[in-house]
Amino acid sequence: MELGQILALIGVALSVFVAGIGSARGVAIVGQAGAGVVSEDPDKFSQVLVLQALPGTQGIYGFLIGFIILIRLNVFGGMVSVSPQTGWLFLIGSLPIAIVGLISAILQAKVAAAGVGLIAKRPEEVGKAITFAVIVETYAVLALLASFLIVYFIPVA
Amino acid sequence: MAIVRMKKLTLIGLDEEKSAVLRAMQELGSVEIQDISDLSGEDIYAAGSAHTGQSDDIEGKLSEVRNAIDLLQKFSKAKKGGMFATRPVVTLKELNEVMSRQADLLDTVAECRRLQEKLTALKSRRVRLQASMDQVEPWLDLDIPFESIGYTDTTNALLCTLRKDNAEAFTGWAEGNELPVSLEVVSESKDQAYCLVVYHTSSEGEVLDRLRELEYERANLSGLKGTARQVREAYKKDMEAAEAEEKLILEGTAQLGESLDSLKILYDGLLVELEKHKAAHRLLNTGKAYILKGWTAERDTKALVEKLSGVTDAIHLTFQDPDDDDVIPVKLENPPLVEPFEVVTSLYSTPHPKGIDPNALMAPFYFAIFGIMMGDAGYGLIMAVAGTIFTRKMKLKGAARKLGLLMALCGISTLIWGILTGSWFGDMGERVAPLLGLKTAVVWFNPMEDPLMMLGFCFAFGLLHVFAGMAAKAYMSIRDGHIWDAVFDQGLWFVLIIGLLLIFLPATAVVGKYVAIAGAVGLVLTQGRSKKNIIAKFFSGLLSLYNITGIFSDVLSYSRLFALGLSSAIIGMVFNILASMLGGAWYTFIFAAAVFLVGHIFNLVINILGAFVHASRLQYIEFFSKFFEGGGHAFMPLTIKTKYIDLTN
Repeated sequence: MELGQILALIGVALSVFVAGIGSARGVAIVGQAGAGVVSEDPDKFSQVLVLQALPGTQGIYGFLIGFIILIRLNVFGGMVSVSPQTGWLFLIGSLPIAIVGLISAILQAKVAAAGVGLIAKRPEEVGKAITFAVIVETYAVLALLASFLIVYFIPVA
Repeated sequence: MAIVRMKKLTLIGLDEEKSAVLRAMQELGSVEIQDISDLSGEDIYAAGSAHTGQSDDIEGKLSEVRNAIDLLQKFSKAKKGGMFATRPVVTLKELNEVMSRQADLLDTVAECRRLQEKLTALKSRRVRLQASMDQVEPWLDLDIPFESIGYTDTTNALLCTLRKDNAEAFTGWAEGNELPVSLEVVSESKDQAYCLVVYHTSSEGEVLDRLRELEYERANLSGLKGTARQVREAYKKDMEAAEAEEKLILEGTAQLGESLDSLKILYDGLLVELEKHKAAHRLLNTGKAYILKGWTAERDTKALVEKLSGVTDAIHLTFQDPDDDDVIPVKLENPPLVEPFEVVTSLYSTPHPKGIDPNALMAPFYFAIFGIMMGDAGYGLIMAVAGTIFTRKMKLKGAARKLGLLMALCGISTLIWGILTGSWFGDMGERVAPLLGLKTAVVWFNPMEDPLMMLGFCFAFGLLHVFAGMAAKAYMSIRDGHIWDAVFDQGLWFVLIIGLLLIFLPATAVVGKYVAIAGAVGLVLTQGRSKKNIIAKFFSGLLSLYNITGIFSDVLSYSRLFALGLSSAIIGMVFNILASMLGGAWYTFIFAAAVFLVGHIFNLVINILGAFVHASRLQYIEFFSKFFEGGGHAFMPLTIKTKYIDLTN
């Protein structure tokens, strides 16, 4: 296997597992906070579940970028030849969503966990709790776009 | 726009007719009752405490009925409705009939409570028996009766548990020291040995010391008579008796099951009563008469007067326009197509009574944004159909109904955008199109193949949305008579931004430059107009140009339209690829279909959540921030609220 292909596949791995770690950690943080609230009032389950799902998207974004790199490499139909330079470019393209995904998922989870506390006391304010958490996600969305534009426009022979 | 005009209402009536009047209002459901019970001055004294006792009483009954219903629902053989169970429709007459049988039904409730208590007692008895049986279990192979294990003239026997290796260590130790002691392992579990230890009393001290060192644990079986097998038999008999008794009680419960429907009606009847009594607490009572203050919509006043005059003529009812310092409750009224979107706004804040209802303006944007974010015709179709059926079948009401309809509407929008971009269950459209003799499923353009076009579209859409928000603010200023505010604060920004955009088009670059400069100069000159000093005026004007970054970042935020659309399209495509990898033989086709189905359901759910929260966010942060005044309090009339049934006239 060529160096270029290896580098590009490292890019795939990075965007999937680094962002994935962030989301896994994130949903775990909110889930723990949520379980406490649900133990007091099981009716709040659906509201808590929405908050828990929010930091889960970064992992999906990471997977998405990884998948686009796989398509660009034509992995499913015999891999194309990739120069080391192009390989590096793919690797770089995976970094925005990998790094921002990791960090934003955890930070978003902290906001969402605080939101869980908010709906424990005032369940009618669930909309505000969600909005606080969604604002953090903006930067994961921007990173996703940056990653997408990079890996989409890298020329491949 | 669509905030309903409210009237302040004052009603004075006789205490003895209070209940009937409140009930009439409750049936009408158009009056919010203000809490004035703490206004009691020297002349009027509150007789509210009597009511408190009454509603506590009702609350107590409610929780008992609730427990009885839970019990009967769990154990009676009454058919369960399943997922789409609708609530039975009950007329007021039937409700009153059930309420008149209250005493009998409460007897049933008490019977249920007794059965429940018995069941709980039986359950704990069974748990205790099970624990005792578990305790005896390891000693079953011991055929010495428990009562004869202990001291004889010269020996002692004891039952204990030791770790397996410690049991061996003990035997070794006893043999090594040639002590008159024997250890017999009766049975073993994974790491414990259950042992019978017999020793001569002369060596008691040493044996017990050694056992202590090896962390032995005396079996706690004192008081038991007979061999382990006999003891277990006795327990088993007890257990069977308990089970038989429980079965009997459950049969009794099942028989009570036929009153389940009546109990549900009773519960809701009590709930309606409770609501009424709580409302009575909010009145100002003198003991003989009462004063009620509240709010009602202007157009509902006539119906209210008619309804109340049917109840009694001994009331004095007046309506007033609200004063400036009144906290007016906010009731919204929108056309059926806009109404579902009220859910989105109410999650943020109820509009200020003197502001505007943003729903009509927001609805088309929310509709479009949601559709672009989901962006898949297949998913849109599912949402539209499921949303409609679910709302209809479940006879949803209030916020749940709005949410269901919102999903259906957004499904239509998703369908439209999916058709335009040729996205059907991910890339299924593109896969199927050639089979149908089409070149492509795409009607307008495919964002995946032309991402820059898509980004441009998102920003243009975002600018339109932000402009609409600013225009709403301008409208509010003009409405309040501040025309120049609208011209300076919004109009000049429109000029500046449109000018800047024109610069990018070669044909209008020169014109654009002058338009932009005119806008910028205008802003510098006007944005400091509230400052007194001329220098402060100039600098705040200059500084206001910095707000361009705010508008810029607002517009950039709409790139999420593309990003979320991308996410639903690609994840859908992933599952299509996975499914197609499984091949075309008939037996793999089943797996492929399963992957396709489960995968797309997952993608649908995740993306509905994503599109819902992000579409809402764009309204809250980018759109509402331009004009929306929240902080109102929603109109909460005294109504009939039910849990198990739907009440009709």
